[in-house]
Amino acid sequence: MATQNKAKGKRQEAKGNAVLTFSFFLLPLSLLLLLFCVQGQTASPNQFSQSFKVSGQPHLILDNPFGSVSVRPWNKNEIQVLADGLVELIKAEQAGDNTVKVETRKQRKLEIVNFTVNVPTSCSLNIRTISGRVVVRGVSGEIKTQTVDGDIELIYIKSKDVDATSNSGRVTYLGDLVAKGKYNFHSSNNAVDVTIPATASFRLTATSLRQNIDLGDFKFNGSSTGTRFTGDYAGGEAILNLSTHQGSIHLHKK
Amino acid sequence: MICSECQQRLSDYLDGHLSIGEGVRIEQHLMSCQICKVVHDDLAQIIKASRALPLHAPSPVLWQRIQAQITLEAEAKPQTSESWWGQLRNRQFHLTLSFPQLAAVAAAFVFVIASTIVLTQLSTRNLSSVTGGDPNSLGNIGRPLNVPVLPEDLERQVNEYTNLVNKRKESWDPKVREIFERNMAILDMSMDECQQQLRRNQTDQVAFDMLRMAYQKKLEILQDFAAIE
Repeated sequence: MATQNKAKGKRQEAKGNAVLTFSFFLLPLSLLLLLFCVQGQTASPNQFSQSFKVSGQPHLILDNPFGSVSVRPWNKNEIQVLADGLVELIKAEQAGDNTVKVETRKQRKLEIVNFTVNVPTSCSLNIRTISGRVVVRGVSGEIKTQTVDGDIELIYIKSKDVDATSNSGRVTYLGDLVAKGKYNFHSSNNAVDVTIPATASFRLTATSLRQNIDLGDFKFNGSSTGTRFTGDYAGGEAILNLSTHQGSIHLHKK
Repeated sequence: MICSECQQRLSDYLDGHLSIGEGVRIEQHLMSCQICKVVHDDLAQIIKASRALPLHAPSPVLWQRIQAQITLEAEAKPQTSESWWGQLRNRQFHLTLSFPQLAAVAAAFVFVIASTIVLTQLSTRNLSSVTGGDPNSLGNIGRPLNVPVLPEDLERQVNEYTNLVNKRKESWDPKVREIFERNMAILDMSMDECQQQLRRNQTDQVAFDMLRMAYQKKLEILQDFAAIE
């Protein structure tokens, strides 16, 4: 009986040692896994997520040839880049303290990668796509965005410097015109639609080769050559340039 | 693309005889031009209606009558060895126009010839001054002082990138190629329109600004597509 108890005790001791050894290996493994999750490298093979701490005046440069880009403001000092599609094509890096560069490799094959980026409100943006819609909301930093074949929507913008150009897409702006600010909107073949506060003060130059210019309810002190209208509204403090070749221009009061 | 050019090619477009690029340009123009759209719809209607008409063959009796008439006339014709000049001299012309009518026709003929010469000369001269001598070039030599000028190397760069991209585009995904060609067609249409306006008025600053912008945009797009691996 005593021998049986002794053997049983030894077995339990051996079992305890095995569990301890297993736990000893499991602990760093789980820590590694945790670290990997915190870093947020990839959630699944087709999804990308990476965050960058920024301070002061952050700047995002994003070049995504085929696919959409959506930029949203949040109240963290961090730029979070989320994407889905063929994420192997994405290269994201922090250049200096405040600049984040994201690039998708341009391939012969059409591989769509769609981005959603959360940025601090004051972040300035430089976004390029070939074929893909660009939507930017609620940002107050400088915005420069260019697409070949996609629409551009800039909504609730409070920036002082905005430049949006599309070749075949529609360009829509809904936001403020800050005094001394500069705003350029161009579409070669589609509409340029701008909605600004009735209280804005700006100098407008609207150019349409097809003479398709609709100034809405704004009453200007200005002149027109048919294809180009130039005029001041409420003192002309900001500069607003709207242009299109085959499209139309529409100006609205918010 | 301008309306006259579009309308001239509509028939070929409807028959499917145009290249993809030309077809796209026509479609782009039709989307933005109501007048050409109406002409297109009318032409399409006519083609559709005419295809629906039944084929009427003449009766065999009619053909026999015509053949008999030809044989009869051939037999009645005198055999002659006279030269073609003699035949022409002996031929009797039956003119039913009065002298004033003939004078009017001659005057109209002279007017058409003179107008064509004058318009051709003017057009060449205007184009030369806008594009710097060579109608296909955008250089600045030979341009009047008050005419705005494009940056000298802009056209050269556009041509270089166009050649580069044209060599590479065959290896692209067809969808990528379609995006490229459609957007190039849009810019070419813009440039055509600007140049048309500059031919009418070579100091048209708006047309010039838009032409420069279209060139700049074309260069940027070509550079984007040239970077495709």
